[in-house]
Amino acid sequence: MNGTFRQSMNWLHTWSGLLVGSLLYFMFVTGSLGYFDTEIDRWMQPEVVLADGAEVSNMVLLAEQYITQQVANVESWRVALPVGREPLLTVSWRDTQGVSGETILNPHTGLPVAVRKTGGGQLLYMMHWQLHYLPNQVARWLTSIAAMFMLIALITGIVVHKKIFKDIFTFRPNKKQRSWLDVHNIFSVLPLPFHLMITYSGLLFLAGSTMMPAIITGSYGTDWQSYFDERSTRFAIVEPAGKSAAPLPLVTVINDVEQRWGIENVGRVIVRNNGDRNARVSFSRFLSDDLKARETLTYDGISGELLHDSTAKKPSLATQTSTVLLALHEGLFASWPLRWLYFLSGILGAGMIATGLILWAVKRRAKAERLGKAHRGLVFVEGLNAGTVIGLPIAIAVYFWANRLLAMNVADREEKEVAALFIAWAITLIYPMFRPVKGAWRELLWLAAAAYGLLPIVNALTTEHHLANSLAQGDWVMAGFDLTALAFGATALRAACYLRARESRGLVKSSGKSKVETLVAVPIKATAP
Amino acid sequence: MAVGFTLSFLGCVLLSLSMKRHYAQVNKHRRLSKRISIVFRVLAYLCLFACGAVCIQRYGVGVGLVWWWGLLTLTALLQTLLVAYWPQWLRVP
Repeated sequence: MNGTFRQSMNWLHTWSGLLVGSLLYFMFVTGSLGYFDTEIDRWMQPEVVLADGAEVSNMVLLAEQYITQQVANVESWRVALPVGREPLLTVSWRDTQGVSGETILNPHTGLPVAVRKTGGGQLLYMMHWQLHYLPNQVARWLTSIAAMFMLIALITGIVVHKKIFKDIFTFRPNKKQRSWLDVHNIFSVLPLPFHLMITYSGLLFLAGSTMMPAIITGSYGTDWQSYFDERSTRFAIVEPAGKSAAPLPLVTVINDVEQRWGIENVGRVIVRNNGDRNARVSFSRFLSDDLKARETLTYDGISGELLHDSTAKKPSLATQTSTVLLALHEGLFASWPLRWLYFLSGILGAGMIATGLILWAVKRRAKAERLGKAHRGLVFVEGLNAGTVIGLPIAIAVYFWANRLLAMNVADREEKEVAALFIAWAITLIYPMFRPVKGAWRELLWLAAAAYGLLPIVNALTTEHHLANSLAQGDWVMAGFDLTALAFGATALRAACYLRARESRGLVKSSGKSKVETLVAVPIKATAP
Repeated sequence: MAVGFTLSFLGCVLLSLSMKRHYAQVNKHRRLSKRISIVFRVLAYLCLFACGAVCIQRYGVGVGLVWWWGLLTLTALLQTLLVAYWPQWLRVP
């Protein structure tokens, strides 16, 4: 680490990026898909009946009717309404025995709809910090460490980049390492505010309770619940009184909500202590184009009296800051054009990490070509890069394929979909280790092109929501998914063709190009002193 | 937000044309005079900040800034591709 400040920053940038690059790429890709979580949910549950202008108040009443007529001994229940981007009318409940259940209802008739079991887009989204198979704490630690390294890589990256403004529009194609560096800079610099915001806020959510528990423990000891209660603007949950009382029909409360807010933005209704004297009913709304938290009105479930309005109490400055950061990170407020801009920035972030990883290998490959031998570490990273950068998108496509091809009634359907994803990723990670690096990239790109390009066809063969239908019906969520898959497929195809063309050009120019690859298998000899 | 997009894109085009390298790419290696460079740069920043003003006026400071930076990212990316692959499209006779 000798040398100038900039050199040591460069060292830190290179190695902090390489160390957690694959994990960060995973977090950026699945997190970016999370901006379209409910849209992906909808594609993965094509049986859903759309609300199409059904009245919100009527849907709440249909849900209430289902609960009172079809479920016995309900202790608490909730309705998630198809408002905004949300496609489903879902009722879920827990009975006095602690058994919980969930049903998706037809928003027009209130009858249950048979919908395939799937993890959907929610699962992809939650993967970006839960990492699915790992225990919660382990995953939080890993992702917070990765986020910390990301922040270090961003800051050191800004330091080592000599001409941020002068080179802002610069891309020089077909210049090997130079071109990769240009792309890496473009993907990093153009969405830099997004990268800094997403990394910093992500780090705060994760590290706050894992890496720095002393901040909370210092003031609250082991009583973390009171810390969360104090921060929350929500109404504190009351215990049941133990005396039963006839619940008030929701229609009276709905009228009050209608007068205060208008009912059309209400996305959640929650009933707690159902049938008890301490019953509570709360209505929540989430406004788009606004960086506020969810707003809630809470009523007495027996008398219908308004007990609490979350907008009445002004949250503390710290809470407001964290609310704004969370809102910015999740982008729930974003209307669809802004949502695409979020997605673009997220994908550019994934591209930034991918090109950083590639750059590491390209630099060292160039040196290896000069010396005529490649280090084992280089060969390993080259394989890992191909298996991560192209393998992960392939694995996600396999997740979508599994959603369409698994039998509807197979046990643990949603877990099998995820298993398909991770098995596919494992295969694409192992495969490049046994192939020369250029071949591995090209072949994985062909596979990615097929996996995404054929997805709309698989959709057409297994459901009625194929592209022609969804476009004709103006169903932009379904059509948008298929079109995006086609665009991803076309991009992969183009990249594969480009690599093939370059390969054949390279072979004409110098036939001894693959010498290094054959040398790789030979153990590296120690240089004579 | 078509207005915001147009302003931001125009700003990026002008800003890149105020730079020697990109001006030469577009105008077949003609040299960029100092005066034109300054005029382009001033106009560019006017467009980019006007875009910010439009976003904030429409959506408020918080969401407006998100829109502004999102549009800047998108249009700067478009301009980068344009000047690298199709510079002739930007040539003004």
